[in-house]
Amino acid sequence: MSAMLKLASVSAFYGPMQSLHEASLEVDQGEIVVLIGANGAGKSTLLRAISGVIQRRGEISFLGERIDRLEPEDIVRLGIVHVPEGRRIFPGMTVRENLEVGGHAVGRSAAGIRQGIEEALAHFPRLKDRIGSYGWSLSGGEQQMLAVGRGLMAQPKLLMLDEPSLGLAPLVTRDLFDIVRGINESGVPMLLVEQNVGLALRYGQRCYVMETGNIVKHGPTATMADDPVIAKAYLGS
Amino acid sequence: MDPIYLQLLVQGLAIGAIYGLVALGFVLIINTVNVVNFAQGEFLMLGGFVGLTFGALLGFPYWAVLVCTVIVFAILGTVFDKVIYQPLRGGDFATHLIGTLAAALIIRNVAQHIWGPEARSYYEPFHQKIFDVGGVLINPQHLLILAMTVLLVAGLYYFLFRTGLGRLMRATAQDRETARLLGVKVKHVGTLTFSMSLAMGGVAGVMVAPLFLVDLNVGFIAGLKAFIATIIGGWGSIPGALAGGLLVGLVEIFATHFFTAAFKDPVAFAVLMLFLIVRPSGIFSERVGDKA
Repeated sequence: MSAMLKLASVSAFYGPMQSLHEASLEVDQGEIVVLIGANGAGKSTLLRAISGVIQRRGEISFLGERIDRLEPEDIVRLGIVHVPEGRRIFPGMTVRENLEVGGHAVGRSAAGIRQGIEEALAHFPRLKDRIGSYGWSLSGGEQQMLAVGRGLMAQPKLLMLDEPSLGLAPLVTRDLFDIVRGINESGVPMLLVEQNVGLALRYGQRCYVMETGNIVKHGPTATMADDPVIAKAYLGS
Repeated sequence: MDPIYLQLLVQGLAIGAIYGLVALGFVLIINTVNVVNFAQGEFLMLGGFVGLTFGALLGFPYWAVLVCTVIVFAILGTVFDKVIYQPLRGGDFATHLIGTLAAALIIRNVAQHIWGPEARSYYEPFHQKIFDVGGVLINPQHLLILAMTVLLVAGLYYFLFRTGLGRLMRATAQDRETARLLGVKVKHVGTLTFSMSLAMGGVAGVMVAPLFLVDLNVGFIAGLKAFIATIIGGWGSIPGALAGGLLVGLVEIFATHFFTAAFKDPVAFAVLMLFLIVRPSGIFSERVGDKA
């Protein structure tokens, strides 16, 4: 079976500066693939190249279709949803409105949006109590839940999460990752960028390691955890 | 109280509402595409001429004039977006500023070519009638402007806060890139914003025609006043644009009464300077909570 998402020698640029060098990567049905690496290694850039918000070169295909020349708004409609770093909740909108925008943006019907909100709230029951609160008034954990919930409104076939644990307390992070795993088990494969390598290796099945814009290593997370280089560089043991 | 003050109040609010509508056009465009559209005032001028054409030359009833004006300016907004904004997209702030200034000059000269350089008058629907209500002289056109402004603003709020498309516009205003990542076609949202802004300017132009005359020079100064309103109201704030517009209108009318008409522009700018010194963030300084 061919991979769901496939990148072949993808490079990306911020103006004249190249920040991703010929990266190749695959995500298969059902799995959680994690991207790890230091700050500035190019993890977010890789996600941004896939979702099309930066200039990229090389071959990206999704479900057998080339997407490397498409605009971000069309890529979302194909089913790749990118939940960006820093959550990026709309601050002047309520929780419900944030979710609604997620549905309206891809042209779902009113009934579809109602159903989508119910599904999102089923995954994140804590948001039910905050449904009328403004985005700016939410805690970090609630914002992250809303960001993922808002992403689900587009009915993703593949979900890309950029550092969901950023700035969250360990307990909140664990809750969040359990929910994320639940979403994955309900049939949504994921590409997950994570600074917390221990966490990433625990929840992911396969892992890519990035350094200065290059993918330098990849393999199943189970073997990565035992890799002495990874252990020394990222796990501090 | 001297009834003259009530009269001045109504007049000031009406003129202020016009500035407020032009300022709203500014604010919508600032929020959605982050461009200050210096041609905004010219649409007020153009609205007068378009209204004159439909009303006086073609003999349409007043309501039809307003509807036709909205349609014409909605189309013009799309053209403006495609011809002035899109080609410069990605350019810096100054590039767009110069682009819109160029558009203002073009619009003015094209208008002069079509309608000639003389000022005209267009009075519909009240034919300059003034009512005497217990010693207070009321110009019904002022009341019409106020009523229409309330209607337009209510419509705008309904659109922004109660419809799906309106929410997409607010989302784009709050975080353009995230909106794109969610699938919002921000380019279309931008086009729609230009259409709405221009339509508001055009309607304001028709309504103010009996007060300002239909004149090529109306746009520049009204645009400046609306710009002042935008700043003192709070940059990018919708209620601020209205409040700022009303304040500028009132200040102007009362200044004309207490001093002479020659003082109204300097006084408006003095208010601006006062605000820049005392409260530079404006009446509704931008809080994320109430940004629309």
